[in-house]
This record gives sequence, C-alpha cells and structure tokens, in this order.
Amino acid sequence: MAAPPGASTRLAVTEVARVDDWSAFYDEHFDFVWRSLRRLGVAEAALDDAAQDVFVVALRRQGEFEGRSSLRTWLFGIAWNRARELQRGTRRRAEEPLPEALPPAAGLDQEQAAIQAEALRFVYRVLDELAPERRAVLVMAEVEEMTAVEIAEVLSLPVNTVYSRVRLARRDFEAAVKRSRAREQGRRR
Amino acid sequence: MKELSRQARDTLERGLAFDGPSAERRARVKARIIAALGGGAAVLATSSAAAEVASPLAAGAAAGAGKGLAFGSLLVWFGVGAVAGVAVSSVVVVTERARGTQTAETRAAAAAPARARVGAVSSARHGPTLPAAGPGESNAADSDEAASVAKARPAASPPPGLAPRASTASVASTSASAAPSVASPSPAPSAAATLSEEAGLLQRAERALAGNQPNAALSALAEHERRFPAGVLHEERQAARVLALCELGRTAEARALARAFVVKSPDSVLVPRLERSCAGPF
Repeated sequence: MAAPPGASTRLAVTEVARVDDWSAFYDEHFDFVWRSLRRLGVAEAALDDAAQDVFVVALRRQGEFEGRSSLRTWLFGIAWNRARELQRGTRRRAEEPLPEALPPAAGLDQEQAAIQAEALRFVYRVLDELAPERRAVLVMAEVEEMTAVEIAEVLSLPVNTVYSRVRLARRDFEAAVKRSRAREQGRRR
Repeated sequence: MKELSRQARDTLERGLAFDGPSAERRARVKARIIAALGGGAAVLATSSAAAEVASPLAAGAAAGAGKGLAFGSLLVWFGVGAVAGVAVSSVVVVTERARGTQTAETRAAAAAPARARVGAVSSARHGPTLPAAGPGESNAADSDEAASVAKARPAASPPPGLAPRASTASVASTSASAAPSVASPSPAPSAAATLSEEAGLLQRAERALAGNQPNAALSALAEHERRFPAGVLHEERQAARVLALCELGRTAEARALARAFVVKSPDSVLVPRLERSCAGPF
C-alpha cells in the first residue's frame, strides 16, 4: 500500500505486521508481564485479566513506544499503571489467598517442593507488607535490576529522587523480612 | 548505595526462583486476547480494557481503516475486514524509530559503567518457567510451539511494528494475501492457527449471543466442544452456554450448568458474570 496522501518524506510505509509477530511477542513477554503484575501486588484472582489488559494496552499504544526505554521497562510501566488502577478500587487485602505455586520442578522430592512453595509464599507475604510504590521500586531495583533511569521513567520521577526511593524500599523490605520471620518463628514455637 | 542484607536477598532469590504463570494460563490469556481483539462482541469480557477495545475495532475493520498495526494483523488473521480485500499496513515515522533506536543504543553503552548495581536477582536466574500439567492436548501443543518460537527470536525483540527491520521482505509476502493465514492449507496446523480457530468459534458464539441469536450461539459452542473439548477456552464455552440457555428461557438447564461450573471452577473470573445471569445467584 502506498503512503497516505500528505505523508512527508518522514513517513514511510514499512511493513505489514503479521500475527506471527504478535504471537511471538506475546510468548516472549507474557511470563514477564504476569510475574510483574503479581509482584506489584495484583490479587491472584485478577492476574489473568490484568495481564490481558496490559497486552491490549501495549497493542493500542505501540505507536507511543519510542525506544527510549527497553521494551521490558515500557511493559513494566504499563503493568504498574494497571496495578495502581486495580489498587484504587480495592482496599489492602489481608485475607487474600496466598499465591498459587507452580507445579514443583521436575526431580524435586515432595519435601523440596514444599520448601520451594513455602519460599514463594513467604516472599509474597513480605512484599504484601510494603506500600505499593515501595514495593514497585524494590521489584524494579532488586529483582528486575533496572537502572535508576529506567525506574525514574516508570514512575515519572526525577532520577535523583529514585536513589532515595530505592534506599527506602530496601529499608522497608529488610524490616518486613525481619518481622515476617519473627512471626513465623513465633508460630512454630 | 547500601545493598540488601544476605537474609533479604535470600528471601527474594529463593522465593522468586520459580515464580510465574503456568503454561495453561499463558495459553488461555492469549486465546482471550485474540477473541477480544478479533472484534467479538465481548459478551463475556471481564476485562474492561478488552471490552473497550473490542467494538471500535470491529467498526474500524468494517470501514477498512486498519490503523493499528497489530490490531490490523489480528483482524487479517481472522479474516475480519480482510474479506473486503483490505491489505492492512502501517505507516511508521521512520525518523522517530531511528532516533529511538539510536538513543537506546547510546543509553545501553553509557549505562554499562554508570549502571547503579542495584540487585543481583536477575530474572534470567529465575530459571525456566515450569510446564504445567496441561489438561488439554491443544495446550501442550501450543506451549511447545510457543516456546520454540520464543527461543528462535532475539532476546529483546520489540513488539510487531516496532522492530527496526533490516529487511522488508515480509511486506511483499503478507500484503499480497488478504486471506487469513489460518486458511492457508498446511500439513501441520500451527499452534497459532489452532488457537485462532478455537477463539474464532467462541467469538462466533459471542456475536450470536450479542445479536440475540442464542440458538446460533449454542451451535457454535457445540462445534467448539466437539473440536476443542479441552481447549483453553473451555471455561468461556461453558459460561457462554449458560447465557445462551438463559436467553432461551431454559433456566433449569442454565442453573444446573452454572452450578456445575462454580463447583468445578470456583475461582474463575467468569463466576460473577454467571451470578448476574438467570442462573444466579448461587
């Protein structure tokens, strides 16, 4: 197809996207998006819907992706916005079901699998204690290893501010780990 | 900057080592996006964004204005709009893309030394996502294929339409054929084709429901059940059937089906939709 009338030389018809491209894009990024939403505190029952929303928004806004950030950062930003919208509607959850663990890795015996599942539940219990933005900062900095520039972009913050936010997020996380461990030990006694 | 303590780092590393969606969820959400974007009436849509997008899409397709690149291609896939012979293509601001790429490269180069080392839990270390024991054979086939597709692609490939492509060969190959790719005869149907067929059937049922043709909806659902008994959209199929039965005034059947559904899948996102139907409340 020709360029639409009025298109300047800055515009050029490049390609016809194929559904294979979308399909591969989805396959490549779905786990990351889904995992990020969970780590950002989206409730278990809402995860699939939220992931669907992120992909629909990404499709709709793909023209806005400018390559300033990495694709993952961009998707993470969309996920963060969606997670925040969902948080606005619901209050903090205390009696939410714990995260569903994946089927245990092959080769693990029952005991190891149980330990693995418990480690997963524990980390989410700890994350649930953090305020949403602190939690997001911790996940970006410590799990996704994003740079300060990338974190700044997701949160629309000045880069300088990010450093102090990361510090605070780490402090909160440390404290929450200690509290949760103490609680668990108290329960075992 | 102060790093995390050993204890805190262990909590993250061990806890998140095997965190991720099951293959079944991955396939299911994909099918739902396809069904939603394919221009379905989204009767069952539980997701606001999907519902919001679905109808303008259908309108756009009818007008032959395939603006959204990937939307357009999904429509081509389904043959929605493409039957009119509209080759969906996209116009991209090349200079902007070039600038973006350059910036990304510069940033990557500059970031290497300057990068604040803020963590050690790389997502790569989280290991492969564990395959779920998928109930449906189509799931297994899809995820296998999906995995190989994903592996074959570069690690950080941008979404379709964003990739600064070196070759434009794909233009010729796709723009020439307005026919949906699923229609092309192929000895081994790809997982994507299977998925789109499955989604297409459900979409047909949803459209029929939206158009007050519950009998047509039921026949599409019956076909879905025959061809994809354990398909990734089997929950959607059951829910749509309940709604169709309600429309027909077959309330007792609707209630029985809905109850069986709720017993089997109490956490399904479709439960609230059924609650509001003639079959609810439970």
